[in-house]
Amino acid sequence: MTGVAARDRGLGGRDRLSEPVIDIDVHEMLTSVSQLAPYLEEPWRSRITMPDGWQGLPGFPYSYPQVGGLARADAVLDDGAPAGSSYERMREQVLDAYPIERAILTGLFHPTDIGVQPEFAIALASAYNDWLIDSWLGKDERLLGSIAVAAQYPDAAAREIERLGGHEQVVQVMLPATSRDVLGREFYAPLFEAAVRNDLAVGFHQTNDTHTAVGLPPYYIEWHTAIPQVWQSQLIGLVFNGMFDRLPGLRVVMIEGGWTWLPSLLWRLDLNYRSLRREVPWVKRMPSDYVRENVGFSSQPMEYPDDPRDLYRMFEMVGSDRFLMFATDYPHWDFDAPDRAIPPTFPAEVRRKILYDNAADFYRLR
Amino acid sequence: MSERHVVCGLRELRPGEFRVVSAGSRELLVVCTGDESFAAVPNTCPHQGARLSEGRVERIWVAGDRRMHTTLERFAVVCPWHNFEFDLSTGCPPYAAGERCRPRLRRHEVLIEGEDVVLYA
Repeated sequence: MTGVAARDRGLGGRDRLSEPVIDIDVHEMLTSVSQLAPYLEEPWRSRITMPDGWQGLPGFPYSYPQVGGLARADAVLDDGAPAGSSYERMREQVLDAYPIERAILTGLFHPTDIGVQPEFAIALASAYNDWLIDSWLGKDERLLGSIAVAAQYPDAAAREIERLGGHEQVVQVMLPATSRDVLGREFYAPLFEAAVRNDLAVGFHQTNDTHTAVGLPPYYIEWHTAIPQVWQSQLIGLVFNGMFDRLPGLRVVMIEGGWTWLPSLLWRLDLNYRSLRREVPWVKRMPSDYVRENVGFSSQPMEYPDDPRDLYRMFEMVGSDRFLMFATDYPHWDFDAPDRAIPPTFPAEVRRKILYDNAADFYRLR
Repeated sequence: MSERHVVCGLRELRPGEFRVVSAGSRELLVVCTGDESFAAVPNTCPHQGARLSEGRVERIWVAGDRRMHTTLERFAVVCPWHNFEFDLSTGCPPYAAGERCRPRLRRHEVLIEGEDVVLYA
């Protein structure tokens, strides 16, 4: 797509939407991890600035088959910097292209994926968060932030949440949709407790280190189709390890993991609870109750069935109209346009909830 | 017209023990739930029709201190097929009351007449 075409499309989006939108998944990116150097103390600063030092977070193992790689093609930057690393381009292509009132930055920086050197992972989380505040949140009041933590050290993660939870533009703690552990285990409770104390949501998003139930299948298309398994597993873990019983005020959001599997999962959670409750008696209520009351989902990637009425039927089967929140996933290739992604089979009042009200309520933005 | 059925002697069953009583074409499960305390429910699971007497009557499991498993005084019958639980004091699953009580076992009244445990069905 040419730049002109992209601008035309953006302007069309703004024209088609007269009411404000909240976008809950926008990725701000580092140009390079060396940008974190000013925010790190030694000995960690030198680890990322020396030529053969730390090589960064786990790399993505697949070759992207998309025309723009991970990014939507018109978001690729001319200077070779990662898409999403330019505030100006983000403003042009999302914030100003549509009536975005608030955009929640979700990054793609997960110290939880670093398996070694605890102090390094913890320092990187803090450095990233300070860079986020300086380089993004301070530039535009529409931007809201999600802070990075090293969840494998829950007490340290809790301290980081306490350090920044009071920032008025910080609304969320980001966790990886990891296939390596169940983050709902009691071990991680200090992290979730800190999020609740600081009135922050906890978001789960896939990372380069997310594997499917069969690990890394041969093709990217297999990986991309199968990864909702991981959000499902994390959601199941939060429910049955009793995190919602421990913390009734906990707000969790599943970002980019899909949502049309939810009716099936809610049935399966409840059916298994009827049969196996005695194993997890700390879970006091039907599992679907916790999901409907405590968990939100991003709309992107919006499914595209042959009959769009089926999509609304799936939405209705969840049994709540509050769970779904609009997301673009800018700057990635599977970007959902605010004016196009929700089919007209969704009634106007429901579209309004998805595009704005649900996120405004979930993230307490009004 | 309901018939009188003598289930057992008043002190014949210990808490948690039960008898199956045939009442016409139906079977009822009569459980001793405490001293001179009894509950009677259909012996057929409302879910998929298993005979509840093939399952287990046990005290209801809950989470105690530090989440260690412990039990209430109250009894549940656990179905042999899918392990659905029914609180014998309510007929409902232990986690679901009121409108959420599903599936439900209808409880029958059990009487003590002299030294006999009796029900009319």
